[in-house]
Amino acid sequence: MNQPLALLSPFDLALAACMVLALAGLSWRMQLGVQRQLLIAAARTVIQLGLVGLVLKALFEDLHPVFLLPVSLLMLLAAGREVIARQSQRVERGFVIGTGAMFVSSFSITLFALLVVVQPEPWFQPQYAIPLLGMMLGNTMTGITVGMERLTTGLRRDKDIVEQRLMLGEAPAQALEQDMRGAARAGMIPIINAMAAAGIVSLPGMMTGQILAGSPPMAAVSYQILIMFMVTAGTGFGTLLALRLTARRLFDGRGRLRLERLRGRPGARLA
Amino acid sequence: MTKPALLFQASKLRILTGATVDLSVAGGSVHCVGGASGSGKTCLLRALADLDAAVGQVFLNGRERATWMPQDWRAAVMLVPAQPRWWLSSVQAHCAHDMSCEAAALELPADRLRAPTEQLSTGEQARGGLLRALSRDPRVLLLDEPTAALDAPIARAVEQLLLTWLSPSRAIIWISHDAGQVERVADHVWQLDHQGLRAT
Repeated sequence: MNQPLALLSPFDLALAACMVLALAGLSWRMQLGVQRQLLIAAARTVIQLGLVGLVLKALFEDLHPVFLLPVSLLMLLAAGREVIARQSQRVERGFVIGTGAMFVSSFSITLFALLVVVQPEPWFQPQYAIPLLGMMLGNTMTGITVGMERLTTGLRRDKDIVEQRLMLGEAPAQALEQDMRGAARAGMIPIINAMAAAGIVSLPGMMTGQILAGSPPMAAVSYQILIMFMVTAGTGFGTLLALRLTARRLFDGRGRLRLERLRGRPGARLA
Repeated sequence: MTKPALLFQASKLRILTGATVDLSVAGGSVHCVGGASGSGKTCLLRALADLDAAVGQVFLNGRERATWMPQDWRAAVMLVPAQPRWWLSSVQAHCAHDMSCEAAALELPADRLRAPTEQLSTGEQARGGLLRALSRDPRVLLLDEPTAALDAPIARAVEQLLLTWLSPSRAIIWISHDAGQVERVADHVWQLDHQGLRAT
């Protein structure tokens, strides 16, 4: 690193927090009603990232791969819970579907990146494994959440059309094709846009962080490209897998639409 | 005269309303089903087309439906819904082949057959729903009040088209409220209630 890193003190962060406080104050004055959510989310950022920092610190000091397992599992389950919490309709076994799809796509692509592309010594070095997996899970989670939500709400709206296509002798996959295509697109478009806009409209967060922390820009750029490709593939494959599993769940062995396996949840959190 | 062969049969079929249905349909025949609203006429057709799970057996040409692929069964035993919905640009786009002749017989000109579906009247949509089903050449047609949205002359045209469509390898199960229509088309007339079908 060319220059010593400008370390942030707790006081510096408190100054930054004042800006969020000011926004909360304005929201209160304008009766927008988001000040509570805003403050809770800000507090969660501090607590969650602080805890992650402690965990990473401990992991980086002790390289034993056994510790990677519970940490990555915890990350996976937390992401799976988020997918379910943000659905306005709950699919039976939705947690297993979302988490399973996320596991298959995120873990296999992270392993590929570690073993074949980056090849750190040893390959499970937490400094690489944990952040890569975190990026994968975070983005795949969003894709699956959006895709599943789009598929289930679309299916509720288009129930008659799907059933009438079945009546004409179409197989479930064919009868569902329009809703499926819309859901797959909705899940994948954000990440495609992020690739298209990278560097022009936005400097990706990871790269910004790396540059601020003193990495040479070209090194930060090549890692960012790697991350973008991994995340795109992971989001895409994960979303398609989750949608397939969801669709399968909503038809029975005789190809009948079984919407009673979908329950509305008025209390669902918005994404 | 030889007795026409049995084409379609339901045996102890328990539909959603709890009624148990037995029905034997010979090739070339029309069975009309009536009954108070809420008696489960649509449920009966949905159970026959295997759109709702129903205990019991249904046979086409002597083959039980569990031995059919579900989509092949529904292509052969085809339900025509009371209110067709559309997912492609025009009625013709929903049909398996060109249907202008049949459409003309139903007083649906070719330009209406190819018009955007959202511009069609309820009556035009009802005829469109019938055309898209006929274009797929089903064996048994399950009709859910196909002429309810049509005025009398066009309803007669629909009856004519369906009666000429019939053959020894085809049959119709027809839900109708119109006594005159039942008189004109039915070989057998049934009333559905919460126990099952009764001959009238």
